[in-house]
Amino acid sequence: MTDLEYIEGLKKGDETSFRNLVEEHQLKLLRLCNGFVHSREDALDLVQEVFIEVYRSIHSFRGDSGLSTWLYRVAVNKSLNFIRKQKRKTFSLSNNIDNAAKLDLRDESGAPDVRMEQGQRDFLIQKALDSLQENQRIAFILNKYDDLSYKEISGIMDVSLSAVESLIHRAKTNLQKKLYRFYKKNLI
Amino acid sequence: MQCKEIHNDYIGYLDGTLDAETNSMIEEHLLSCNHCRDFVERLKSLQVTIEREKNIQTSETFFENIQDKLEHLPKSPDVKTYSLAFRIAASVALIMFGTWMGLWIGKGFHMNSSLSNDYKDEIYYLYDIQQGIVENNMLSDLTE
Ligand SMILES: [Zn+2]
Repeated sequence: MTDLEYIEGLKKGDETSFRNLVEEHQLKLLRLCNGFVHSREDALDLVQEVFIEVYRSIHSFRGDSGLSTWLYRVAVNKSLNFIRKQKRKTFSLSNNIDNAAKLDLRDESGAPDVRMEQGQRDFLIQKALDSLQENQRIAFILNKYDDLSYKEISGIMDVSLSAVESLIHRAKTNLQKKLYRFYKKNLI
Repeated sequence: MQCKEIHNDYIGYLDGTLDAETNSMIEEHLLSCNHCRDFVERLKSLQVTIEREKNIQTSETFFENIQDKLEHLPKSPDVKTYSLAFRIAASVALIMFGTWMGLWIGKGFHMNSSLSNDYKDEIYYLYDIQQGIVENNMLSDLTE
């Protein structure tokens, strides 16, 4: 189905159009949201909310950008909102976890042969990713989790191609710096 | 032995996005530097983690869950269909109403419980409208 057919169908409240739209776009949005929230359950919830918002506001969709671009934008916004709300909610808890992680780092640093389980390695890599500056993180996740081209990303983020290039390059070098610290402590 | 010339682009080297010149510069360095060779090897964990997260599966009831959530949404008017001018006017009116209520209460008005609940509803309503505006403007935050 084309964008126009989807939009017409959704405006008429046609269930098949909506179902097809969901089928076609759910996986890529799930990958994207998972890159931000690192939890299948939360990603499923968020993407469902994305489709609900799109369904309810289809009448105000002006079509300046493609439907897919719009879906991605809503998904990015919902993910960032979710993270902000979660940060506020668990501020003191995450502080404690951070402190515990720092203690762990100190303990592990003296033992060169200790390899962490993949789960813990995932956790540290996710932490490094989460600590990237927001725009770098968005560009990086769109590029790496959904294999989007720089051109597609520039459409979604509404910035120039060279800005996307620079954001992704900075994301990679910053990520490398953060991961190098873990490497020196033998944590990745 | 640690390396004093660690290149910034090892992630780009691993995902094959570097230009030919930078690529061969890095390859040359890796031939002679154990430290960087080992680090680059460990950096492959990044791609492993990303691949694992990308492998997320949907749920069998995904669409049904959406329908379910849609059915249980409150039948409130769609905030986005209001014009900006109306939303601003409504916000101002509600703020004035709130201020007036506050002054009234301050004068020693004795609140009964039903009026105090009405008052709370107005405050939540105001918050919802502002939330709508904030969400609409989110993308400009992304690109600033
Ligand atoms: Zn080196």
